Amino acid sequence: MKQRALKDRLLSRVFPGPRSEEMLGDLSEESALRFRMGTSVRGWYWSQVFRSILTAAAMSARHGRWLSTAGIATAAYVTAGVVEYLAQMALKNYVDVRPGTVAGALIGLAALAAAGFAAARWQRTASFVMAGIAVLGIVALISIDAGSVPRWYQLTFLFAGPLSSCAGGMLKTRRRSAVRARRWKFPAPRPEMPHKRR
Amino acid sequence: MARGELLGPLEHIILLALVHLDQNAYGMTIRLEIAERTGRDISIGAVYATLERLESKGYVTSSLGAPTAERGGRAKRYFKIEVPGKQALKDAHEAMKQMTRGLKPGWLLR
Repeated sequence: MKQRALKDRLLSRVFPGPRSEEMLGDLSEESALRFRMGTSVRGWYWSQVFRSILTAAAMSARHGRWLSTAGIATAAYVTAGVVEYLAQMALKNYVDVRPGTVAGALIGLAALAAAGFAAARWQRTASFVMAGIAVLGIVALISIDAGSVPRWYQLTFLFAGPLSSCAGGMLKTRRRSAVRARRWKFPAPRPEMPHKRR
Repeated sequence: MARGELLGPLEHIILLALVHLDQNAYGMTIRLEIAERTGRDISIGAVYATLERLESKGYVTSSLGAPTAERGGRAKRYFKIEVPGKQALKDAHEAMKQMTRGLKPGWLLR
C-alpha cells in the first residue's frame, strides 16, 4: 500500500494538476482489469510510472524547461562517474589510477570536462547545473568518507571538478558560436528544388 | 490539399484511436486500443502528453466524467476529435497517398 502511494506521488510530481489524477485513475482501472485477467500488475504499474516520467523528461527537454536541464546535468554527472570508473579499469595495469593519485585525479577531471561538453550539447546551461551537482556530490563524499583520500585530492575535486565541467560546457558553446559565425559569413547555398524550376 | 502542420506518428495514431473509440475514448481505452491494433505498449504519460498537445492545437476537446470506485474515486476524462482534428487526419492520409503514389509494387521489400 505504501509503495503504491510512492508510485502515485512520483507521477503526481511529474504531471502536476488534474491530469495526474486522471492518469492515476486510468492506471487504477487498468490495474483492476489486469488483476481480473490474472496478468502481473506490480511490475506493469512501475513500468508505466517510469516510462511516463521519461516521457515527461523528454518533453521537457524538447521545450527547454528546468526539468530537462536538471535531468541532463544529473545524467551527465552519473555518466562522468561511469566513464571515470571504466577508464580506471582500462588503465590500471599501466599506471596507478586509484583515487588519491595524480593520474586518478586527471582522469576524474577529464571525465567531468567531457561530461560538461556533452551536457552543453543538449542544453547550454546543463554544464553549469552539473558543476553545482558536482560540488554537492563532492561535499557529500568528503563528509561521509573524509579519510579515504588525501586532502589535496579532495580540494582538487572540490574546486577543479566544477570548473572542469564548466570548461567543457563553455568549450562546446564556443564551438557552437564559431560554427554559427562561419555559417553567417559563408551561407550554404540553398539546393534548388527541381520541381519548382520555372 | 491543405498544407497545415503534419501530424506526428503518435498524434496520428491517437487521433485514429479516438475515431475508433468514439464516445468511450479516455486514457485507458486509448492505450488499450493502440496496444490491440498496433502491438505498441505506449505509456499512459505519453498518451496524455500527446492528447494535451492535440488539445492545445484544437484537434480534440475533453470533458470530465463521473468518478468511479474502480478508479479510486477519480473521474475519467473523455476525449473527442473535433473538425480540425478530422481535417488534420484527412490531410495526413492524403499526404501519404500522394507520397506512395507511383511507387513500384514491392517497393517496401527492396
